[in-house]
Order: sequence, then structure tokens, then C-alpha cells
Amino acid sequence: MSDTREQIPRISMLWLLCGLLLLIVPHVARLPVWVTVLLLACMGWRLLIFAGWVGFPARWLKITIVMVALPLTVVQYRSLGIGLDTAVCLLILGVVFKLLEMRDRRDIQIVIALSYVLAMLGFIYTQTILATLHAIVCFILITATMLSLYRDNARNTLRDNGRLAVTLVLQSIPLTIALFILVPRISPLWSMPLPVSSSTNMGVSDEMTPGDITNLGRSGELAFRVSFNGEAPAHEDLNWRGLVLDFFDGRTWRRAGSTLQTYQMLQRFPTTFRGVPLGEPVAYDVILEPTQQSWVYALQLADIRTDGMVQDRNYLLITDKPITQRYRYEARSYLQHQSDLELSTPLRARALQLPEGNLNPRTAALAAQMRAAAASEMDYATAVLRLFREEPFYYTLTPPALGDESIDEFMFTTREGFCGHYAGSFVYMMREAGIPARVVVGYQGGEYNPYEDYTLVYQYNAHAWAEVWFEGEGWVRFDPTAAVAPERITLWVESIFADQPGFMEDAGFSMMRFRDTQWLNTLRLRLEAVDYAWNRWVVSYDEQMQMQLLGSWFGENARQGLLVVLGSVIVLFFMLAGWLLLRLGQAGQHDHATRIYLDLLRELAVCGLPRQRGEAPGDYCRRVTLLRPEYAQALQQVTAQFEAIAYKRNSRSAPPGDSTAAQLKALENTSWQLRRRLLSPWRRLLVSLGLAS
Amino acid sequence: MQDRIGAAVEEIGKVLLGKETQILLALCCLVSGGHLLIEDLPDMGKTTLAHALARVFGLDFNRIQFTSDLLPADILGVSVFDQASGSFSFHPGPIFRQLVLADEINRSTPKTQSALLEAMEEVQVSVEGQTRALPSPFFVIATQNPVSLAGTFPLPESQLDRFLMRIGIGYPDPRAERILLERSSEGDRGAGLPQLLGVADLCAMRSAASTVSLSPLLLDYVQRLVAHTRTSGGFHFGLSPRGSIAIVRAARTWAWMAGRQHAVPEDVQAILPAVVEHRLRATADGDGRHGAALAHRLLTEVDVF
Repeated sequence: MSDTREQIPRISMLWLLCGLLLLIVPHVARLPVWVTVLLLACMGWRLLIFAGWVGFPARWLKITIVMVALPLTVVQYRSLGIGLDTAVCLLILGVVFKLLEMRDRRDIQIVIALSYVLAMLGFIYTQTILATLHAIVCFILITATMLSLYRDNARNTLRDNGRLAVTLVLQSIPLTIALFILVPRISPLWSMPLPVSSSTNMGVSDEMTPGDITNLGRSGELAFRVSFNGEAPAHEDLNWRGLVLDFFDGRTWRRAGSTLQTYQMLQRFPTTFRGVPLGEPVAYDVILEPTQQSWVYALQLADIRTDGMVQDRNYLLITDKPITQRYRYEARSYLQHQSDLELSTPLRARALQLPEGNLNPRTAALAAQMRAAAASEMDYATAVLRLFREEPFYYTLTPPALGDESIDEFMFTTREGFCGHYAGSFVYMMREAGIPARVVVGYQGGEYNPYEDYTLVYQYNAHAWAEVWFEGEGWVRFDPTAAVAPERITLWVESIFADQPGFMEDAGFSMMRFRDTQWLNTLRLRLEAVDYAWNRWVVSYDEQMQMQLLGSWFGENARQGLLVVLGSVIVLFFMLAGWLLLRLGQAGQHDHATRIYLDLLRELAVCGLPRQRGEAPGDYCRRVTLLRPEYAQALQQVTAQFEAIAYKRNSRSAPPGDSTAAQLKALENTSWQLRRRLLSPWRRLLVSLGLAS
Repeated sequence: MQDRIGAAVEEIGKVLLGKETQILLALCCLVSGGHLLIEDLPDMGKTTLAHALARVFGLDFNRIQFTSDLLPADILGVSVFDQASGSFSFHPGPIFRQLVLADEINRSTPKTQSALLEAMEEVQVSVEGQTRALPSPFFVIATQNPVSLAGTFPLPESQLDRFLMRIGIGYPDPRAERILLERSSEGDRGAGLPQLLGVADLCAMRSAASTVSLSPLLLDYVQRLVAHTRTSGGFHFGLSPRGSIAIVRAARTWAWMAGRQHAVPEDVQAILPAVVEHRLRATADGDGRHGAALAHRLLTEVDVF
């Protein structure tokens, strides 16, 4: 009791404050400003207590702070739902509040334990190399705090603690790597309730209401990375197909309720593959950033190579659970293809659906007029594209808001919009003319990184286009946006948008800003390449990759191999740990010669000749000589050798040299000669395991 | 040189029959340069042993019978006015001998006891402002009677500590007693013992014994023994550093007497009861009678390794 109640060494406070400060830094961006201010204030107060300028806060003050901070946090996060962010915020607040009533060792031990949790908490949000390095530095600081609690005063210096902590953490890295590779990967038992706000409002969502959006935020966040086996297709061919939005209510495009198929349904009743591949496929693998949604993106007419994924009748790739972590999958796509040469009646009906009531009469009239003028359905589609190109339509990220007659207003009045406007209007025009059509959302293009040979697709690559069905052709892709702003498709998207308000508004100090400087751009791409390798080999190391890796090591029976390896690692670990503990425990008390001698004595005791407590070697030897003359000579020899090593050396003289090593060897030999006579090896094993006496 | 010790033991054994261990311990004490306290009933051979030791080593010997009216001056000496020279001259007391037998030391008053004990510690006496060195070597063999305690002044712990060893002699075994009974003359008291060793021999032995080496393992054992008296229950107080030094000193001599140049645990165990018994007192031990039991506890509770 008395030692846990001891005071905290001052040096521990320094370590702890540094560690906590560093721990909180990555969270600051997510925390409300008042929380950050409160955290800094608490740490500042603690620093003042440390300096001896102020005392600990009064009880009422502490209660007040908690009573104010707790409801305020809950209210703050209410709009986002009480979830992970709230919990993280409360945990951080709790740890920092604890500083203000941290008086003795028990308190600081709690804070240290919580700090380790905080250091790992960051991985929920981000798993980059930087985050890992940050966590390692945090671990070093916290470990140093803990070490400084237990070091004696003379050696308790910053330098000493730091060095020891660095050594400890670095030493733990090989074990961490081994465990990372070997411990079986179990798919998460629950998915983290991540706030869905960050990724969906900027990327692709499952509905599209162009009329409501007057300022399309575009972010430079990464959507996914692709590496092609072989040469990457041309930029304009990179149409990462996602959802099909085939229901239009006059304002919003969404997925028709009847088309929603779950993974389980599709797994039980797979859709027949209705695409006709033409030409050679391109193979690639994708690392998708978490989307919180259970579908993924692929080039059209994808052939799935990864388990846990099915394709629905709209060629959407559906996963068995929401993508809450980086997700890696492989696919093959036939860029040249035909699909759905036959269109079933329900599909045709859905592709022709129009909102009830004649909401957009002018567009309907225009469609009827143009359809009558066109010779074929195909001609009509190209005519509509020409209309977009030749009439004064403009591409903008900040279009004016549209009213109820959204299509009419866009087609005849505003004529300013982004991909959603063009794709929606185009499909509407097609449907008005009785041609099956639908909106497809996904990503277009991507940035090629020459250093690691892969392509990056960012959120600002999100795009919407149209698919039109023709008799004998199947679904044909049309991109009306390309008609208005062809450079949107063929050039770097950011070079067009750079002067547009709203483009990468929240990119902050992202390296994207420095795209124009050549060397910085090179640096950026190189860093990106490192990050890619990290994601590919570390972050996306999942059950499947583990099985592949272990399969390549142990042959195809990877599961058994894994079990064998893990089992033996664990058994070896415990045996080693036990042996070391036993050995260290003995070594702490006895020197080498005494250990040899006592090992022999233990076996003599098993043979019914126990040495009495306090009985000296010579006395014991004389007693055994009387009791068991057959061992007398051997034991006398051992005793003489042991006494020579143990007692002939003067404590003031130099430490044992080579002669002692030779003596030890001789002692060990004679001891073993006697031991072999005493016990059979089998019996010795049983005895040492405590199974026999 | 060890064989001469053997011869001495044999010679003394002729007057103190069947008490080789006690004789060896007494010799060990002497060679170690420590004072000896013999504690036993009257007429058990305490004085005989002291006499015999003095004879064998050829030491200058004197006996002081302690009584309750004995004064410090009676043992240290006094300055007497010499009428002829007209000045004071010092008449040395009986303590100015190489071997002093202080018989029944607990019968005298503390004042007299402390005069003797101070002389034992300092190997010099201060009389009337003048410091006078005692002869070298200087040994005190004190005896005390543990039974008839009425009218005695038991030695305090601090003064018991000054004696390197305390031994008891005990009754002779029946065989030895028979020989004793068959002897024609009584009260020989070793007068006829030959002088086997000289003072120079004793000094040589003492320096030889001090070169006996002590290994770390052995010192660990001694320290564990001492720590046991200080930390485990049942001991009223632990051994003082003087006590642990005494153990090591006696163990060295014992090892040397056994013909070894290094000490082994047996040496420590052999001298341990004699060295520590009078220094230990049990928690519930009013008269200091339980030293032997405590020493036995040390031997059985503290392991050698």
C-alpha cells in the first residue's frame, strides 16, 4: 500500500505531459474548438501545479468542469449521432481531466494505461505510415513515463528513460511484425459506426438531386487506387462504374426500390451474366478507401476475381458488408463488350420510367420534335448530344438552384450545371422519346503515378453519365458532360477546375496545391508511392492475403500451416518464457557452480538423500558417505570440486578467470557422471516437469 | 604449525578430559585474539582450562577472583607514595599479565566490571591520568556462574559483546569421569603440563589465520545469518557489526586450524554457537538463557546457499 501511495516523480510528469500533448495533436482537427481549448487549459494548469505556482483545483471546480463539459459534448455531437466521435472526445476529455486530480502513483498508472489506448485510437480514423510513426513516438513517450516511475532517483534522467523506452519499443517491433503476419485475421465482429459525412457528400452517393446543389464541393481526398497488370487503358476509358440510378421523381434520381438486391439474395440466386465480352480483358486490383457503403467500383463489364462480392443485374458489384476499412479486390474488365442484347420487360419499364404528371412540358415537346426529326434512335441520341454541345450550355460547379420543373429550367433557362445535370437531362430526353436509358454514377479518370505504376482516383473524379439501350446494341454509354466540356474527360480534371470556386475547398494545405511546382510534384508522387506500398502490403493485409502468404510458405494447406506455425510459436514462447523465468529466478540467487551443485542435490533428494536445511556441503557429503557408500566417492569428488570453486576464491581478489571456467567444466562433468547413475533420463524429465518425485 | 595445535589440544585434554570441542574453541578464541567467557557451574574445570591454556602457551598468568567488594584499583593497580624516593610510584595490578583469569566476573560491581572490560577493549589502562599499555598478547578468560544469581551483577549486552566467544564446559561424559575418579592425585590443575608453544608462535598463528580467504559465497552465508537475526521474528535484537566481524574472525581461525587456506560453511557453523549465543536474546527471554536455542535456529533456518 505504501509504495503505491508514493509521490509521482517530477520527471514522470514531464514525460506524461509531452506524451499527452503529442497524442492529442491528430485529434484536434476533429474535436470542437472549445474542447481543444479546455484540454490545453487543463494541461497548462497541470504544468503550473508541476511548477508549484498553483495548487490542485477545488472539488467543486472539478465537478463543475465535468458537469459542463459532458452535456456540451453530447449536444455538440448530437447532429452527427452519438457515436464514435463522441466517445473519442469524452475519452480524451476524461484522460486530460484526470491530470487535474493525479496525485499518486496509482492515478498516473491509470492515465498511462489510458494513454496507450488513446495512442491506438488514432488508427480508427487513419492508418497511414504517418499515423503509425506517430503512434510509435507516442508509445515511446508513454513507455518513458512508465519507466520513470520505477527507476531509482540516481538514474532517473530524461536521457536515460528516453534511451530505455526507445530500446524497449524498438525491441517490440519484430514481435509485432511476427504477430501481425501470423495471428489469424478475423473479420471484424462489428463495424465501427464511423461518421458517414466525410466521404459521401463529396464523392458518390446513392441518389442525385442536381437541382438542389448550388455549390458542388469537390475534395482532393483519395477514393481508390488501382494498379493494372499491364498497361493502363487511356484516360477516357477509365469509367469506374458504380450505381445505376434509374428512378426519377422529378427532382431526384435514385435506385428503383425493386432493383435493390442484397448480397445474400444474389448469392443464393445469382444473376445470369448477360454481357458479351469482346476483345482482351484488362486485369487490375483496387484498394478502395472506406466508403461505409456496400458496393465497389469497376470498369464496365467486370469479371470478379475476389470472394465476398457479387454482381447484380445492373452490373453493380455488391460486397457482403459495408466497406469500413480499406478494401482490396481484384477484377478483370472487358472494355469492349456488349451487354443486355435482350432487355426484359420489367427492366425496360424501369428504364422508361418518368415522373407522374407532365412536369417538364417544354422538354417533352423538344424531345418529341427531335425524335421525329431523327431517322433512328441512335441518331436521336447523337442529336441530343449535339444540342448540348452547340447550344450555350456551360459546365460549372456552382449552378443556380432549380425549381420543381427542374429539367425544363435547366434545358431552357439556366443551362449551367455539372455532370449530374447533363446526365439527368440526357436520360430524361431519352425516356421522353421512348428510348430506355438510365443514369450511372461512379468515377471518371484518375491520375497515373509513374513511380509505382498505379493510378489514383480522387473524390473529385466522381462523375455521372448515361447509358442508353438500343435494339441490337445493348446498353451504350453516353457522356453528355463530355459534349459540353470535353476537356473534363480528356484532361486533368484539376487543371480545368482550378479556378472554379468550390474545387478542393477543403483540401487545406494538401500537397495538391503545389501541383505546378515540378519537384514538389515529383516528391508528392513519390510519397504517394510509398503510401501505396504501405496500403497494399500493410493496411490491406487481410485474411485472404494472409492465406496467400502462408500458402506460399507452407504450400496450399495454408490453414493447417497457419495453425501449426501459431501453435508452435505460442508453445515455444511459453516454454522459453518459463525456462527464462526459472533460469533467471535461480540465477538471481545462485552462481553457476552453486546451480550445478544444487541440480545434483535435487536429484539426490529424489533418490531419498535430501540435504537438510542449513547443512553444509562437506557435512552432507559425510552423511551420504555413511548412508550410501556407493555414491561416496563420486559425491566427495563433486563436493571437493564445488568447494574449490565456491570457497577457495577470495572475495577481495579478482573475478574468476579461465581457471574457474575449466573448474566449472570439470564440476559439471563429475556432477553429470553421478547424476547419470542416480536417475534415468526419462525419470529426470518427469521429475523436472513435476510429474514424479 | 597445525600439528602443534593438535599436540596442545592433546596435552590440555589430559587435564580436561573428554572436552576436545571446548578446548578447540578456546584455542580458536585465543588464536583469533579474542577474549573468552566460560560460563558454567562451579568446579566444572573452568579454571583448569584457563590454567592449562596459560601453561601450554607459556603465557604470563594471573587470576583475579571477582567479589562484590572488589574495586577497580584492585585489578588495575595503585600509585603508592614512596617515602624513600619522596614520590609516587605505580604498583601495577594483577591485570598486567598476558593471560588474566577473571573468575566469577558477575560477582563484582558494574564499576569494577567496566574497568576490566575497558582494559579488554583498549589493551591499556588509565590510572591517575596516566595511560599504561598492557602486555601483548593480552587475553582475558572470564568465568561466570549462571546458577546462583543472587547478589550478582549480570554483564550488560554491550559488555558481553566484547567477548569473542562464550563457551560452556558441561559435565564430563561417564568414561572421562571414570578416568578422573581413578586418578591418584586430585587438583593437579595442569601444573605439570609442558610448555608446547611460545608467545612468538601465537603471534605467527594469529597472522597465518588472518590470511585465510573468504569467498563471496561464504560471506553471503554469513550475511544471511546476520540478516536473519535482524529481520526474522523471535530475536529481541539482531547481531551487531562487531558480532558479524567476530563470526568471520573465528571462522578464519577455525579453517586455519583445520589446515585449510579457505573457510567453508562448516567452519562458520562450528564456531557460530560459541560466537553468537551470548550476543543474542529471544524476544521473551528475561535472563538471556535462550541464546543456544537461537543459535540452533540460525543453523537450521538459514540455508548455506
